[in-house]
Amino acid sequence: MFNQLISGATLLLSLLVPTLAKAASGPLAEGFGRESWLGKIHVVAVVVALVLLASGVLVFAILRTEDDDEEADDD
Amino acid sequence: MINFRSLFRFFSFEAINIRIVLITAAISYMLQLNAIISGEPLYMIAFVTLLPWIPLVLFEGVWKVKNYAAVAFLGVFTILQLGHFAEHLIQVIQIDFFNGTVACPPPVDNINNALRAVTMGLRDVAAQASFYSVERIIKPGADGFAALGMDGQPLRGVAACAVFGQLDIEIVHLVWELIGWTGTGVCLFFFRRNIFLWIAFAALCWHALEHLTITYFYYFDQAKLWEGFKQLWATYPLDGKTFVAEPVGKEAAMLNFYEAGGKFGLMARHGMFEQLTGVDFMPPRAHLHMGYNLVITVPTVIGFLLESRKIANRYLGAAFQGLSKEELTRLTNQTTYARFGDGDRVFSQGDRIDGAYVVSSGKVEIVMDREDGIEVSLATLDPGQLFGEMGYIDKGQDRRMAHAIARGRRVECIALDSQTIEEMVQNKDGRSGFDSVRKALEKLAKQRASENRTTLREA
Repeated sequence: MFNQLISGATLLLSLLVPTLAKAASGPLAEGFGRESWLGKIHVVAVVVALVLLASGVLVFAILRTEDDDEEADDD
Repeated sequence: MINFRSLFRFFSFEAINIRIVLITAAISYMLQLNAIISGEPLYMIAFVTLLPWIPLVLFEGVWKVKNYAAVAFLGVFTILQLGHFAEHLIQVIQIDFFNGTVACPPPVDNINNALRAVTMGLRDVAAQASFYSVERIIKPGADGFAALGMDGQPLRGVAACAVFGQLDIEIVHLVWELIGWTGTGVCLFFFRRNIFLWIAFAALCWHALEHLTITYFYYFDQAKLWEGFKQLWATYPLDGKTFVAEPVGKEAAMLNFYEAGGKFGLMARHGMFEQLTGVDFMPPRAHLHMGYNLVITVPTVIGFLLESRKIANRYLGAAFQGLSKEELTRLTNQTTYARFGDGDRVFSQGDRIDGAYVVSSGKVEIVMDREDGIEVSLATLDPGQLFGEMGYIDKGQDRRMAHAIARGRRVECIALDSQTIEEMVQNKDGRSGFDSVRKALEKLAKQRASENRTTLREA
């Protein structure tokens, strides 16, 4: 019974996740290099801007909040 | 200075009966034993071992956040970060010490891979695909077939994808990173002067750059512009349900940006920085991301340890507003929890006084039997309200003057024993905070006595 459950879970798992190994392994493709990245530099710039903006908004919101410790110290 | 007593209490099961914990431990152990005897792979042994604990840990985690507020959130979050870091660390250990191959998620013993093994004469024709992930991988050489070691044998090692390698996919990395970024941000709202949480947050911002870029290329840049190949695997059983993947050649394919090199990200070996600058000392992606998570997790742990010195039950804080944080922490460590069903008596009129209580969940009704036999409801108390303390103020009393009856499906009270109450009321340790509580208790007792007299007259 239990082993059937495990077999079922294994089959389900194999269907839910990619079956082809393709994470950060293997070599670079031929011809991929500096020019390839320069062609995508706008993507990196947008991501940097997005993270800076989101982090800036969050930091600003955090710094505007008074925490309990500060109130206690003020007392 | 770390408060080990608070830490031990925080990491123990407080909301769940010890019998349930022991039964869960027994079930977990039996499942683990069965998986080991059945020859299940490591990830399945780990999965079935953890499975019975999931509902308990979830329940306990929610309870901790409800009772200990933001510190508990930081604590739960720290545990999750430690688990995540452990996966990265295990992957690096697999690579460096167990001849591991990074091919993640690991190849699965599916129909195609099994058929290739049958064709190559590596497995029995009758053997069906198991759909298990492989645990061992033979390293592929430049030609796509097994690389040979000095002894002329194929180089075989582990699949270096940590324990739960099936989750080693880009979207999981991104989601986990964003959970870390958001969770640390939320913690900073409560602990904004904790410098270690700021360090973790800065590292998470940098880490987010990597994963947002990689995930964008993975999902949204599908143009296949680069000539390359895809590795082909044959899978077969090695021992019981442990499967091995053997490289059996390469298949020519056109690759998109991610597959061609974008998968290495910004700062890893073969990544953007290396390509743009020509430097050749950047670490492989697995090592780099273990490093990122080290810089995230260590400050998070230190930040939590600093805040854990102030772990205090917030309902005690509501009941004893005159106490400092240190005193509340000390008081929290001296309490226990008592749980009741609807209609249960916390104590009865005439019982010997053995402590006081603070409601932490549900409601408690205080009911007095009048001399003529009629029951009169004096008050209904909400979470954060103290009861049972009057005997300690009125020195002539040594018996309960009313019934305390639980109202609600799951009523929980924080119990303070007589010694703790005596210390607070009589101010034995001479601390000013406890002195203020004594005065507050006297005021509360007088007010309640007056209200009770009024209620009894009107009843």
